[in-house]
Amino acid sequence: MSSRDPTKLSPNPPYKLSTTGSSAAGHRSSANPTTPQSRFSASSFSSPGGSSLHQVDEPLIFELGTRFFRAGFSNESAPRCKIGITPEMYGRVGLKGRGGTRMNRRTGEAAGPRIRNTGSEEWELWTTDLRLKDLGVVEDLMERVLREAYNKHLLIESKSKRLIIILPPIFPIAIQNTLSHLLFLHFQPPAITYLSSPVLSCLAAGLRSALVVDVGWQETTITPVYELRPLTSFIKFSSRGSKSLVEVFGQLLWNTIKPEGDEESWWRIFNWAEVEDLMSRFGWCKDTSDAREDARQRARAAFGLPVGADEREEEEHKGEEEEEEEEEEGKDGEGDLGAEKIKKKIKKKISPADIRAQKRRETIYDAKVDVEFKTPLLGERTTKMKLPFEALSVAAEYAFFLPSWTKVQSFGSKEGEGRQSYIPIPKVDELMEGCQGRAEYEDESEYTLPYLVFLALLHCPVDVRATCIPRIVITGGAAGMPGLKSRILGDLRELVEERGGWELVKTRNKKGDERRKELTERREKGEEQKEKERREREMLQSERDSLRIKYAKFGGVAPGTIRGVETMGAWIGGSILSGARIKGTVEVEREKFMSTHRA
Amino acid sequence: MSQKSEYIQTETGNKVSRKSLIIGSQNIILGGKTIIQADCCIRGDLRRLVPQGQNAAAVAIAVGRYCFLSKSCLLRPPSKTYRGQFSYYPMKLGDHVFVGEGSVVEAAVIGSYVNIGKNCVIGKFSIIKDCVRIEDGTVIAPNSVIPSFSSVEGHPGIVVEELPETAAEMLERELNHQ
Amino acid sequence: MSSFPYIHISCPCHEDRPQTLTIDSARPISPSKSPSKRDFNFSPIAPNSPTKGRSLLAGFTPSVSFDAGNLNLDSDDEEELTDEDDDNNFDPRDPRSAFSLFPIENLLYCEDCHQIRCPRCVQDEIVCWYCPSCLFEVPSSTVKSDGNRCTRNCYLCPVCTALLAVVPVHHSSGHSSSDHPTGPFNLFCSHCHWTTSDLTPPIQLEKPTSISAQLSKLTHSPRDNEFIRLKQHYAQQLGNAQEDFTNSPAALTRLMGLYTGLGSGSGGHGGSRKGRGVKKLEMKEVDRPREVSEDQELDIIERMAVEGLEASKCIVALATHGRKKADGYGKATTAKQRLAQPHDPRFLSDLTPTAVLLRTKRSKRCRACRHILVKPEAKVQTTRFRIRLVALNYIPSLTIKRLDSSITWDNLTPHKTHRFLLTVTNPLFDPISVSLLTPRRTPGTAFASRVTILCPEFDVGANTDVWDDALMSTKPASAVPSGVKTPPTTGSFTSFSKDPKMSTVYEQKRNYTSVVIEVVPPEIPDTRDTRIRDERLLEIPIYVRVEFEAEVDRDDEEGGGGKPSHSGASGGAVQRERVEYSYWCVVGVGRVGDVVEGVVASEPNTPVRTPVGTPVKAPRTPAAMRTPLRQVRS
Repeated sequence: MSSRDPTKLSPNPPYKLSTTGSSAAGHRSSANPTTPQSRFSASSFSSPGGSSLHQVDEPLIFELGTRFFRAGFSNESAPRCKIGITPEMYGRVGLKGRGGTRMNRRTGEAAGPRIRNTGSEEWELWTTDLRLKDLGVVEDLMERVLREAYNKHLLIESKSKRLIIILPPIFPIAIQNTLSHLLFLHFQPPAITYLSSPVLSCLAAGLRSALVVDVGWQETTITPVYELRPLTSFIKFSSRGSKSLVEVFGQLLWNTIKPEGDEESWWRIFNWAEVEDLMSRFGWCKDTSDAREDARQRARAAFGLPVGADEREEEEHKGEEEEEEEEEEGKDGEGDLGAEKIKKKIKKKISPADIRAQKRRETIYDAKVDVEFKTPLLGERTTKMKLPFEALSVAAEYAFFLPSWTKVQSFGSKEGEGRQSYIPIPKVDELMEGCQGRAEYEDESEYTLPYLVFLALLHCPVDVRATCIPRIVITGGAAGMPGLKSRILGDLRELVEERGGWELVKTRNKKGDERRKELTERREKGEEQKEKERREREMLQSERDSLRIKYAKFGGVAPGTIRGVETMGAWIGGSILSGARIKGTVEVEREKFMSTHRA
Repeated sequence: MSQKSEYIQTETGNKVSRKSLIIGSQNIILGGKTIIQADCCIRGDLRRLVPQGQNAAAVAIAVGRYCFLSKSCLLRPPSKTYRGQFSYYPMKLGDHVFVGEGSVVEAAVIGSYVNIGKNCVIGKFSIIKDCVRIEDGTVIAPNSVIPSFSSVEGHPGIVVEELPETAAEMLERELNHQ
Repeated sequence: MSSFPYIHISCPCHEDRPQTLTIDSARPISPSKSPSKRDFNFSPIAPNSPTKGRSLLAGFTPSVSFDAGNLNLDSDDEEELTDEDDDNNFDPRDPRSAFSLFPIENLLYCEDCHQIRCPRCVQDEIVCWYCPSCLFEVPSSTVKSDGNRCTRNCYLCPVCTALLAVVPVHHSSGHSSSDHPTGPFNLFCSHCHWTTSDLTPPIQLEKPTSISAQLSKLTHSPRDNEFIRLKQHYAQQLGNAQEDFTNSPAALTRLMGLYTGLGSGSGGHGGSRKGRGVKKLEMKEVDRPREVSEDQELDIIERMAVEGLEASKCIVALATHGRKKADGYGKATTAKQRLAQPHDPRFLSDLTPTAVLLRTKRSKRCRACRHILVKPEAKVQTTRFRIRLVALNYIPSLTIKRLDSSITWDNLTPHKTHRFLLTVTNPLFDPISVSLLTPRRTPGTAFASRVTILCPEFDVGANTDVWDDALMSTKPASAVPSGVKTPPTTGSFTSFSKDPKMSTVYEQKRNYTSVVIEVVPPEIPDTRDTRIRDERLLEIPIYVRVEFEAEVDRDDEEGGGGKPSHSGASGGAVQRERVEYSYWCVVGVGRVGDVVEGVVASEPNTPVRTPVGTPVKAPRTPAAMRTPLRQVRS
C-alpha cells in the first residue's frame, strides 16, 4: 500500500481517499492512482457539486408573524419550522427550564419582562405599537428566535444563504431596520429580499389579483392586490384578530367561573397558552343564517317579544321568504351560491340535504366539551368546566362580528330558558341604530369584519373592485377557524344585498323602506300584479343565469359574485416565488448595507 | 455527610450506606469513590440468563467512578423477551453519574457526567450518552437515546436545550454540590 | 440543583451593541452601562504610574482611567450626578439584560479580542450532522434533501414525541413467530401506546426496515399536491412547463406583470394580445382556485362537535380501561402537536409519525476577529474538543454561599442583615487583584435592598497546581501560598498590599478568596403589581474588575487599547504589563419573604468595617422616587 504511494510517508491511507467515503475505501486497495481521481471528479459532478450549486441559488424564506415565526427552504411545500413565541423566550438562558426564578406567582408561569394589557405581549415577537416597546428587546428576541431556527431546525450556516423575508404589508420601519441590522451583523446572509405578505398570499392562491384579508394575531389587514401589486393606500386595518379572540374567550371563561366581586383579570387566572390552545382546537364560527337567527332572537328579546321554538320556526320561515326576495333584489346576482340556494328552495322542505343539515345542526348544538384549566390561584389547582360546543363559537362572534362595545357575558348556564344566549340582549335604542354593520363608529377597528371588508372593496377603484369581488382570499392565523371564512363571505353577501350594491353613499334603510312599502302594498296589489313582478324577476334572473353560463364557459366568474378563494398562505407563496429563481428587484445586499450603516 | 456509622467504605473508596439494599452484590461492580445513600436499591440479582453449563461471571450492573446514588433510588437492569426467552440485560453507568432521589433507572447505558434529577424514570434499554442533564421528574421513554450535551425534560423526556461546551465541568460541579 | 443562588455574567456585547432607533424616549439614547470613572475610587495613583490601564473592553476605555481628582468629589456633586449614576448601573431587571446574562458555563472567551463571548457573539459553523437517536452521521449532501431529518428508522410519536418502535401488528401470536416476526408492522409508541393503526386510514408497514421509504409512499398530504399544482401552474405561465422556471429577467416581468390595465376579473372581453397572456392565467385559474366552501367548513365543525361529544365518553372509557392517557379535549390536536407537523393537522387521526430532527456539532467563531473559539471533534460520539476557549478558564468565577445556615434562599427576612460569602476563584496562572463594586441599593425596583461588600478589593492567588505550592513554598519569590500578599511589583503597587482592607478578607486560599457581602432586603408589600414583576426576587448586580500582570506580546498591545506603552516603567527584562478587564455580573440571592416580627430595621455594619481612607463608592441608585420613568411605566 505504502509502496504504491511513495509520496506518503505514513502507511495510513491517503487522506483524500478517506474523505470520499467509506465505499471508496473498499475499492482503493486494488485501484491504480487514477481511480480515486475519477471517483473524485464524478462525485463533484453529481451530488455534492449539484447540491452546492443548488444551495447558493435557493434562498431561505422567513415569515415574521407576530405570534409565530416560520422558516424554511424555497421550493418546499411547508416551512421547516414554526416557532411560537413564549414568555420563556424572554427569560435568561441559565434559568430556562430549571424552575426559573422569574416566576409569575399568580399564574405559575414564567413572567416576562413586562406585562401590560392582557399579558399577550409575552407571546408576541413584535408589535406595531412601538410607543412602549423597547426595540432592543425586540432585537434580542428576534436574535434568539433566528438562532433557534438556524441551529435547531434549518441546520445550515447562516452565511451561505440569501434570505427572503415576508413581512406584513405595513411593517414598522424601525423594526425592519433593526431586523436588517441584526441579520447582517449576527447572521451575515449575503442579501435579503423583503416581500409583502398579501402579494404572496395571493400568489399562493393562484391568483394575480385578490382582496387579501389577513386575520392575523394583533390585527386584521385587508389589502387589495391588483396584478400582484399591493394597493397600499387602500389597506384597511382592524384590531380584531386572533389576539382579541383569545382575549374574549379568556374573559368569557373567567366570567363564568369567577366568584362575585372578584376583580382579577382573566389572564392572571388562566394561562394564555391554554386558552389559546383550546380556542384553536375547538373554536368555531357560526354560519351566517344561524348567527342572523340569533341576532333576531336577541332583537325579539329586546323588544320583549316571546322567544320560543314556534316563533323561531315562523321567523325562520319568514326569514327564508325575505332572503328569497333579497336575493332577487340583489344587484349583481348571486353567483353559484345563490343558485344553490334557489335550487335548494326548489327542492323545498324535505330534501336529503336539509335532513343532513338538520342532523348536523343537532349534533353541533347537542355537543358538549369538557375543558380543564390550570388555575393555581383559585381554590383548586385546576378548574373543570363542561361547555356546550355552541359556546365555543361565541368568542368569534364577539371578536369579529359584534360591535366592539358589546359587553362580554359569560357561559353561565341558565337552565330552563330554552336555548341560552351568550350574547347580551341589546338595548332597544342600540338596536334601532342597527347592530350589524353600523356605519357610524368612530374607528375602523370598531367595525365588524365583514363590514370592513365591504368598506375596503368599496373604497377601491372600480376596476380593482370588480376584479377583487370574486377573489376574496382570507388567510392568517384565525382563518383556520372552521366557519370563519364562509361566515365573513356570507355576511358580506348579506351586507351587499342590504345596501343594495356598491354605492358609496348608503341609501339609508333602503331595505326597510322597501319592506314597508311591500307590506303596505301587499294587500292592494292584486295577484296579477304580483305575478307580473315575479315574471319580471324571473326573466332578469334567467338573463343573469345565461350571463353566468357565458362566463363559466370562459372559465371566469360573473362579475360581482362574491367568492372566496383558498390560499396556501404567504409562506408558500414565497416558496413558490423564490423557487422560480427570480431575483428580487430590490435586494438588500450585506456589503452595501454594512457600508452605509454604522460599521 | 458520611457519618462513620452509616457508611461502609470499600477498598476502592466506595461509600455504601448500611441502610441501602444491595441485592446480588457479586454481580455489581463499583468503580470507586462512589457513594450510595440510604434506601438505595440495586438489583444485581437480575442478571443475564446464562445458558446452562457456562458459568461466566455475568455483571448485572457496572457503576463507574465518582458516582452518587441518592436516597431511595432504584437501579434495575432492563429486561425483555427476546426469541421467546425472558432475560435481563446488563446496565452500565459511566463516571460522575448522579442519580437523584427516588429515581428509577432501567437504562442500558449511561455515559459519564450524567446528572439525573429527582423522581425521574429512565425507561428500559434507554441509552444516555455523556454530558447529559435530566431534569427532575423527567420520564424517559423506553429504548430512547439521549445524545451528548443535552438537557432533557418532560413527559416523555425531550431535549429542551443543548448544553454548553463546559457541560462536563458544569455537571461535575453540580454533582459535588449535592 | 436548587435555583438559588445563581450567578450570571453579563456579556459585554450588552454594552457595545449598536443603538437601535428608538421611537420611545424611555430608553436613554446612550445607555452606556459602564460605570463612569467616578465609580472607581481607588487609592490614588499618580497619573504617570506604570499602571497600564489597558482596558480589554473597548467600551470601557475612557472610564477606567484613574484620576486622583476624582477622590475630591464633593457630596454636592454626587447628588447632582445621581441621576446619571443610575444609568450607569447595570439593571438586571431591564428586559434586555435577560438576553445578555449567562451562567459562566455558557460563555466563551476570545483570546485575541480579550473579550467574553456569549452565544450571541459567535458565529456557528456546522462540523457534522447526526441523528440524535441512532447517532449516525448524515453527510452534508443529503441533509437538506432529507428535510434535516433522519432517514433511517427513527420516528417520533406525533402525540407525545417519544421514540416509536417497530412492532408486528399481531404480536401476541406466541413464540414461534417471535423468531422471525412477520408483517404487517406498526409503529408503536411505548410511552403513550399510540400506534400507526390509530390513524385513519391506518398505516401498516410491510417490512420492519426502511421505514422512511414506506412511509413516504403512504403519507402524502393534499397540500403537497396543491403545492405541486400551483408550482406547475406558475411554471406554465412562465412558458416553461417542463423545466422548473427560467432564470430570465423576462420571466420576472411577465410574472410580476406589467400594469396592463386589463381588469382580469372582468375576464370575458380579452382583446389585445397582451390581454390574452393574462387571460391565459385567468383560464388557469378557472378550475384551480379552491373556493371557500361552506359545506367543508361545516363538516369540520360537525366533526369537532362529534369528537367533543366522544371526548367525554372517551374519558370515562379510558379511565376504566386505563390504556391511554385520557386527553381531556378528545381528538383535536394541541398547539404543540400541530407545530411539529408541517401541515397543521386538526385532528389526532391526521397526525403522522415525524422523523427525528437531526442535530449538529458546531464550531464557533468569534464574530469580531473570526478566530475559532470552539471546535469539536468531528466524530459524532465523542465529547472532546479540539479547541475550547471557555470563559470558565479565563475569568474568575464567583460563587456565593450562606454564612449563616439559617438563611433560606427562598424566604429572606426583610430588614434583617443577611450575610453571604462571596468567593472569587481565579482560573489564571497569574495572581489577580479584584475589585467588586455594587450599587448600594439594588437598581430597577421601587423596593431596593441595601447591599454592602465588606471588602471590595482583594487579591486572588494564581491557579497553580496544588503540587506546585508545595514545591515552590521554599522560593521566596512566590507570593502564592500565603495568598495575602500581592505579587512583588514595583513601588507604585505597594499601595495595594499595604491597604488595611485586606484584613477584612474572610478567607483566602490557593486560588480563591472569599469576602462577606451583606444584604438587607426591604419590606415588600403584598400587592398584585409587585408580584407580577416579581419584586421579591433579590438580584444584586456586581461590577467585577480584574487586574493582573501578564506577559503580553507587542502586537497585542497595539490592538489592545491604542494607548502608548508604559511598559518601560516596570523596568524589567520581562515584558510584563498590567492587564485589566471588567464585567457585570448578577447574583441571584433569593427571594424576599414576608416580614417577621421582631426584626427591626438595622443598618449594615459597613461603616465600621470599611476603612475610612478608601470609601468605596459604589454606583448608586437613587431612592424609589428617582427611578427613571421606564420602570415606573412598565
